[in-house]
Amino acid sequence: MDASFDNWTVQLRKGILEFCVLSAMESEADLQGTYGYDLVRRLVRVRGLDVSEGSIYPLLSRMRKQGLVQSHLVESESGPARKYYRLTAAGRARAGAMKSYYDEMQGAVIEIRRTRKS
Amino acid sequence: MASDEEEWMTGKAKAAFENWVWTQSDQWRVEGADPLEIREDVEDHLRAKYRELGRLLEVEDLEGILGAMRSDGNESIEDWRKPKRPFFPFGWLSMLHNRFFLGVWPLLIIVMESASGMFEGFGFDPISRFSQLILLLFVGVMTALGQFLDEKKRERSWFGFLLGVGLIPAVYWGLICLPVLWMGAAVYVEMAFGSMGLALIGFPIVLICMLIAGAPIFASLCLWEVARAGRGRDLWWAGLGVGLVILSAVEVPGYVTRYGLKDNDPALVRNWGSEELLSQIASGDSWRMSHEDTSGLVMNFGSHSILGRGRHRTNEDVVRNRRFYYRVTGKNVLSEDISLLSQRRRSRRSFDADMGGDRVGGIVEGLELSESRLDGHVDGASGLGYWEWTMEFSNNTKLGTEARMQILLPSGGVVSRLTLWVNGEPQEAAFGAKSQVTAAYKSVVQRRRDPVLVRWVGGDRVLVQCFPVPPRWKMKIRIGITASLDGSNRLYLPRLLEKNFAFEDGLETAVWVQGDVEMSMAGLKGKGSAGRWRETHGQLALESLTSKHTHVLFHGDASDEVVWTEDQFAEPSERYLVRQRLQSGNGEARRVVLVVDGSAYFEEWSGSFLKAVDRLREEGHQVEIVYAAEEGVFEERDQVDFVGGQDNVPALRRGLKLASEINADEMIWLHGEQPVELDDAESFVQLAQRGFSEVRVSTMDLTGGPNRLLEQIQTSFEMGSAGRPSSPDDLINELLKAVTRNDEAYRYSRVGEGETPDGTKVWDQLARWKVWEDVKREAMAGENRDQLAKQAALYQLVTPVSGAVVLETQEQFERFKLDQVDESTTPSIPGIPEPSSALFVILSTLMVCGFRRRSTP
Repeated sequence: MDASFDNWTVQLRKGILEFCVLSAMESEADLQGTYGYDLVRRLVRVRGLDVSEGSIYPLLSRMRKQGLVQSHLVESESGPARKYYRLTAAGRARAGAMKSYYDEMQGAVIEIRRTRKS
Repeated sequence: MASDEEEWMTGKAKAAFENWVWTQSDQWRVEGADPLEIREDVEDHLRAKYRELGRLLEVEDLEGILGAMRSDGNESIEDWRKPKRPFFPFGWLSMLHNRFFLGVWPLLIIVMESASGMFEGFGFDPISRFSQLILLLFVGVMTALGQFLDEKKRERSWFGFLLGVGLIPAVYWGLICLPVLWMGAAVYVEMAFGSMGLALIGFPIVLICMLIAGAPIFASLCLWEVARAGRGRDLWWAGLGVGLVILSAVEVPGYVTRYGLKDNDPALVRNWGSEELLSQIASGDSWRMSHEDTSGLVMNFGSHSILGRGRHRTNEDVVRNRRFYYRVTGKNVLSEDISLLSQRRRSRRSFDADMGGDRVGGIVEGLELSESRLDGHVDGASGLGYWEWTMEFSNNTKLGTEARMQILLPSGGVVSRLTLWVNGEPQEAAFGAKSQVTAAYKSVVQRRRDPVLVRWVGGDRVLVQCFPVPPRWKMKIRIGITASLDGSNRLYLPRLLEKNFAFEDGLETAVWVQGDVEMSMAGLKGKGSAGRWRETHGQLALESLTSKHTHVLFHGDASDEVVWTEDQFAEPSERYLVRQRLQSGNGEARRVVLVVDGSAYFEEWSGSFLKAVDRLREEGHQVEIVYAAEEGVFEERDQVDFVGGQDNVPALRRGLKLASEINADEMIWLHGEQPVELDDAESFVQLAQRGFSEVRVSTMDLTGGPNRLLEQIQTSFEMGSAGRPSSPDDLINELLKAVTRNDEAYRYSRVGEGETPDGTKVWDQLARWKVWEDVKREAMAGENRDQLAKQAALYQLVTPVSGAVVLETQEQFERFKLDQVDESTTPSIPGIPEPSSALFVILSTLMVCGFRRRSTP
């Protein structure tokens, strides 16, 4: 593939990564939250998402600055305290909004493709 | 398992990790993330990997882990593995500078400047003020921190703040040091042209000096580089702002001071300038280069020579600077305590630029007053006192130097004896016309022999000059002063107004006062009596003779109605001088004008002053007040701020006119010190002599200290003393006494040998006092000064027209046609018989009586 295609995939992944992270955290919305390392590993393992570990930590930091997530330390028996992330109310609202938008967009894309086939 | 303290990475891996964080930080910031937070997350990530692997992470592990973290658009892993390019391009120089100079260069500047005056040699003093010293050390700490961060690649948000704070002063210093570097190079070139040998020897010295001078430039570049790389950029701008504020707080007062000096604006400097810097500028002498601080280097750079040497001040500069200092502060720069930093600068100044001149000047290094003794005697019947002040100076330097001082005599007092010890033997002075003794002194000083000179300078003040105080040796003099009790039964002690010497540590003056009346004096505990004489004695701190008016208070009746003395200098037909006191004063309400010197010192006195004025008005006296203030002449207290040092001439002129308008009995000028000439006194003297000559003018000296205006006026217009309050509390009584005092008046007559005068016989000081008053009055009136000088010399008096000088040899006296006085004719302190002597006399008398009785048939 050519460079413009690569650029398009990068932009697409970047655009969707924040939604993925919020969704992943929403699915584990217990009191303790999500251990950052586990979250990264879980997202990296998702086939087709093709996300690098180096992209998730800056994203978490940025979302914390935006007030979408909050972090806290949890004592660990096997070493120093670990940093856990959980969604804030704003984060949940953002995740909900993104989901609605994504569903709508996905529906639109599917509709376009279906129309083209028919 | 990994814990906070546990190792989980090899050292190399740790360094590689820090470098990776360093290289990624910019990208993270661009993405809106917090590098510190990501660093923690990635560290946590690596710990988890360590736990999975169960061994220390190596560099190779990091390559894999961090390589997987490479986000799109970031550097490749090879980039962060490469060593960082050194900022300074010159290999060894960079290393030397980074390891050694950064951080410690301010200390090097301070040490080198204190030891060798390297910068000062270029006419620039980098640490002339304490605040600059602190700033310099602060910049050093900041640059050291910057270097540390650069090497360790640590990331903390407050680092950016500190780097920003440090960068502003560092850049400022770098800019300041650029011309200094140029000057250094120019001096070296000059040296090299002179001698190739000097050039070779001097090269490493000049190189080190220039490296140190260049340190701030390197420092600012380093800080900039560290900051540019983005360490803690969050608070960077805040740090820059704070750095600018700190630099402004330290440096702006310097620029304001110089601008104010140039623009002759004392209020500006008083409010916003640096008194410390102004003190340093004003204490400089004409022969010295003008050593500049940073503001001076910048503002006067164009006036330096091509080789960067400091400018030489002219005498006009010196006078102008000292005058301006007085106007800003109200103080005499030469008598101020100087800061440690100024002492460092002044300590190299042992040459006395004022030697043989007419002014006292500043303290000369190594010259001290090492002994001081004050003996006094009061004769109650005549109301006259006599002081002998014996002083010994020591010179701890390798050069002979001159001791100079201005002494404030007791009210209306006169110097009537001068003695110098030559080879351990006391030598009495010769009294002659002022110009004659001054010429003799200056001539002998040029030959570096031993003279002492005393001259009257006006306003109860004399200038004493002793030369030379021999190197590493001593010089002893004695000054005799005749004075009167000033109507309030006070005999003031002489006081040092100006001096060019220090006091030996812990030195006190031994004081002994005796007389035929009861007496007391604060600070003297010893008391006794012998025969009809009472005495008080003790040790007095020298502060009592320098910083306040001190007096002995006599308890008893006023002087006798009629007294007489044998005048040893008079013709036989006028041998006896008789003085009769006349009744005067009737206690009527008086009209008085008070002219107030509204300088800064008066703030402390104003409360007492206003209370005294209220009391006077309550008692029915008419009191008008004229204030000398910075904005002009005012008559209401509310219009005046007591600040700085004020020119009193306009207020004196206004006061004199006002006194004339209300037909005042007296005008009293309340003043402090005025160590510089501000305005021409002649306009006031002319007014006093021509237009308003009937108004009696007196002065009340509140603080002591030199007063050039008073000296100028008193050379041609007599102003009596209205008192010398010792404190603001004392001012109320002194002012009440001054306004309501009776005018003392005496009638003098002479009686020839063979006749018996009426009244009480008193000591011969009465004859001297009579001549002193005559000479002073007639000299002010400009009458035959030569004749007056002869008469004053005959009675051994230092007056407006005569002076006293002690020369070393009889040949010198003859050469200058001066007659050394016979010791038997000088005044002296009458001796108190020792108890053993008195006992001896009594026993001898009894023995003689007993022998005669036995031998009687």
